[in-house]
Amino acid sequence: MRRAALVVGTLVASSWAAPASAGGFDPRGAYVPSSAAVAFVDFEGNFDPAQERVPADGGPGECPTGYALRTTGDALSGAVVLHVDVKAAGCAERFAIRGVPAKRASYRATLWMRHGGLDAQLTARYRPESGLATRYAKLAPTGRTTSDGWVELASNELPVDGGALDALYVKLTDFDAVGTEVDAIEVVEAGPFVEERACAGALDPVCGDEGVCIGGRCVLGRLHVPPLPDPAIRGDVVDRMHGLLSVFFGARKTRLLDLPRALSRIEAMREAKTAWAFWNGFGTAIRELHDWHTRASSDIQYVASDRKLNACFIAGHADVSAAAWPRHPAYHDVLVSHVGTTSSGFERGDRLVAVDGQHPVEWALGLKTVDWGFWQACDDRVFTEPVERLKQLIPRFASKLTVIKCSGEAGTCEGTLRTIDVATLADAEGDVVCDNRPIYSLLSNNPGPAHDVGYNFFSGQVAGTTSDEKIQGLIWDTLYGGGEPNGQVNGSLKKAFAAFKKDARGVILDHRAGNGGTLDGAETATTLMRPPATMLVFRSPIDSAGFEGPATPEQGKALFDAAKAITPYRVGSEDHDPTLPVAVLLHRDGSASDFFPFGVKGAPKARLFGVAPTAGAFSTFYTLDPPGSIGFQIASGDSISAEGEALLGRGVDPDEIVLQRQSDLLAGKDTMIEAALAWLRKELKP
Amino acid sequence: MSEARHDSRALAVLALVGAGVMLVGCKVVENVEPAPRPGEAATSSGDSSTSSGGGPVLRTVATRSPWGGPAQNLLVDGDFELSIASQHHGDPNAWYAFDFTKGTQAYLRGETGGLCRSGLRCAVLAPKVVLFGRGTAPPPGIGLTAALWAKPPAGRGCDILSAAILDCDQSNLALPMKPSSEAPDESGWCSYAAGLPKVPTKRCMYVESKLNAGETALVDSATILPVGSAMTSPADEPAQVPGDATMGWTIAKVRALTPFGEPRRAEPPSTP
Repeated sequence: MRRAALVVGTLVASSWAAPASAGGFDPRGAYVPSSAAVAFVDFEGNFDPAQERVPADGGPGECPTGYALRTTGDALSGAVVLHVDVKAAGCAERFAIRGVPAKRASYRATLWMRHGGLDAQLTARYRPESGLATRYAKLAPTGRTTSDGWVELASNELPVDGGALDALYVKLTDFDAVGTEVDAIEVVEAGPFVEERACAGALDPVCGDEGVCIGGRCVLGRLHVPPLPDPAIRGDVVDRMHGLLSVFFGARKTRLLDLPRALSRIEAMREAKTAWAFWNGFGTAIRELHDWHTRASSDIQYVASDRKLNACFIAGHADVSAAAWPRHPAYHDVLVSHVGTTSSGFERGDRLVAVDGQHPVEWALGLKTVDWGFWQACDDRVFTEPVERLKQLIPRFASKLTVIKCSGEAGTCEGTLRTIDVATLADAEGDVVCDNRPIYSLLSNNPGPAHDVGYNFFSGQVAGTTSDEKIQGLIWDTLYGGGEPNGQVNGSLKKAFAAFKKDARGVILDHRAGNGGTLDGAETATTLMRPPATMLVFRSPIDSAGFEGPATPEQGKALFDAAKAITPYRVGSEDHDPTLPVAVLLHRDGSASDFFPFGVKGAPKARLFGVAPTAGAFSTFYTLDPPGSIGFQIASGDSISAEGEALLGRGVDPDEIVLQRQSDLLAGKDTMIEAALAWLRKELKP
Repeated sequence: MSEARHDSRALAVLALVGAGVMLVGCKVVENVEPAPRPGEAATSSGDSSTSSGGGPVLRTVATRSPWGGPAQNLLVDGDFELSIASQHHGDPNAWYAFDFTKGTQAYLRGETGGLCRSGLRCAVLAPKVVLFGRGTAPPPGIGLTAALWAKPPAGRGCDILSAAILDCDQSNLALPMKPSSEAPDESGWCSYAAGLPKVPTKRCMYVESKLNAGETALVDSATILPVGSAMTSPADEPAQVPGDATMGWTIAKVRALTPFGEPRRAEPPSTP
């Protein structure tokens, strides 16, 4: 078998000393691997891709070949490069790294890429009998680059038990239609092995400062973030982060209240000693911004937990179990809204009293330093986002649940608390979507049992109503019109509204997982129930560097007047139906799904039903994708009402607050639909 | 808060951000002899034709920030470091690319490393494409200066694109960016520049390809930077012209695509 994994001690025979930790360049600029490397692959001479290619462990079954060896005059090392061009989604190329000794140690991988974009990771996969789980480390740019376009990527230190390995390999995926060149893959020993320890709960100190407890095991944070930036550029990186937030982030509320905390975190990054401290510092800074649109992403949020929970939760009123456990002074009760085909014993109407000893909302909000999926409304009064995410958060970060079990059949709940060990959660199939709809309202044509509304629209007669009442409903989540007047979103809304105007005497618009979209979708959604008006102007992205927004209504009114012909939010239609009562159901709604109810509020025959205000995310955002395993999104700008109010941070208040009652859940009823029907029946179109 | 207070706070923001600018625009160039590490002695940035060890120099090595700069740029990502989709974190939107003959959004391709003028990534400009770089205005009372660099294909001059600074929300005010020369400089790059003494509304950068079929060019190091009082004389007032139909169409398209929320992406397990 031809091999490209070389012992570098025999490779570096030049008279000068190679660096100890990774490769460098000779005086001509030719690459020279590190003398400390345990493996080096440069695809030369005896490299046989058929021998070195590692089959995928899972993922799509058949992947077309996504690589080729190419001879080029400017390979980084030798004359041959690997050209990676993976066409099929979910596919990747994997090549073995050989030469790692049969001992326990940590290893750092580097490679050089050119053209396009590359996702790379070093993976250690073990023989089943070892009992060791597969671990991998992502690679990201170090900043080193060459005049002919090569860019160095490096991982942090991956613990490897060399004696138990099934395979050690690099996994490569390109992100450009023209493919990406790869050369000089190198692995060096870089520190001691780190045991993967068991842990109990997100903040278990057993994981130390460098680990996060995910699914009951300590996950090394460094494996899922880029390397700590070299001192030569670290200050530049921090300056850039500081500049982006200072110049572009936010609106009046978030700039005044939240931005200073985030910038303080950014400044602390200058003193970070480890990759995880640096990058998790950035992630935490972003999460300090308290904004519905703003988030950082890292590969660590994709680290899977073996535990699965197939139940969805909703904020409500535990009227049946109030005697067994009192209501929290700040947060609503948390109830099981609906479950999937398996649900680890959870049933609709059960009450989740506590997670690891805290109210579920309090517990979820306490995960800011470790939960890269952290999600919070701009409006401080709103907690629907963390409740919706409990299905994901509990298997990843929780240890013990405290619940009150209830019986739908009897309509009663137990008088005592039960404790559930999260390690016993093992729902395997049928991931149900949490869309804040315990029960669907339509007589037929409802979304399926998976609650996967997605980009679809569902309409029809509302269940429990008579044909004389002619109460129709529409269930949908997206407002992404994308500027297409007759596209999926705008077209579906127009079609449904035309039918309602023709045949209905009352309408329920069920938008309880309002994901927002684009402004045109929100505008179209208001055309059923009100005459035309310009209700706000969007001044988003931010008007000028560091703009803190209008300090007084007078300043805001001046902004509105200046922008109302340029960036208006125009609601309503001359063709609306002034006699048709419309109930709008809200629960977890933000952005364009803030604009929509803002445009409905005050319409004479419309009424907003909700558990709390909407998110108050009255802005757009920038999505930014630095090279490597980190991404982020920051909100920018605000919207100004006709009265001159800066709107971001103040969600739309429902006309009627409706908390899901536990007794209704146990009886198979949706409290909000019941409330909407009660109102509609008093307002039916003649 | 008074208007004056707003201005002073915004200026303070830029001052704080600008404190790092001298660092951010820099690259640390590795001395290739003998095989240094990032952060070690940096001496020369130029490519030379021979090395002290004899034989032609194959390449030089430098260390550049993967996040680009400068930190006080009023363009969100003038360096294109954050705008080339690479990891499925979402669709970057500091730059929009459109095929103006089809009226559709185009994929923004990237080039890498030292082939770019700065940072680790730059944009590949294709024929029939416009790029729209999103930005903001300096604080009230502050002017701006804008710059852009492009590397034409071999044999082409600096007329491979036209660029302008636009009001981000309307096309009635376009400030053309003029090339500094007809031909690229000795490194193969063309520069384009413009300035404004007063900037009442937020500004974006518009780049329209004039490339022929089959040609590509690199675009990089775009900046809109705040300036002081150097351009406050009326005589310096540059000519702003009405934008053309393509500019108007582009602004309308950007507005239609401006996201106001989106489904949060699922958190799939990463496959090893």
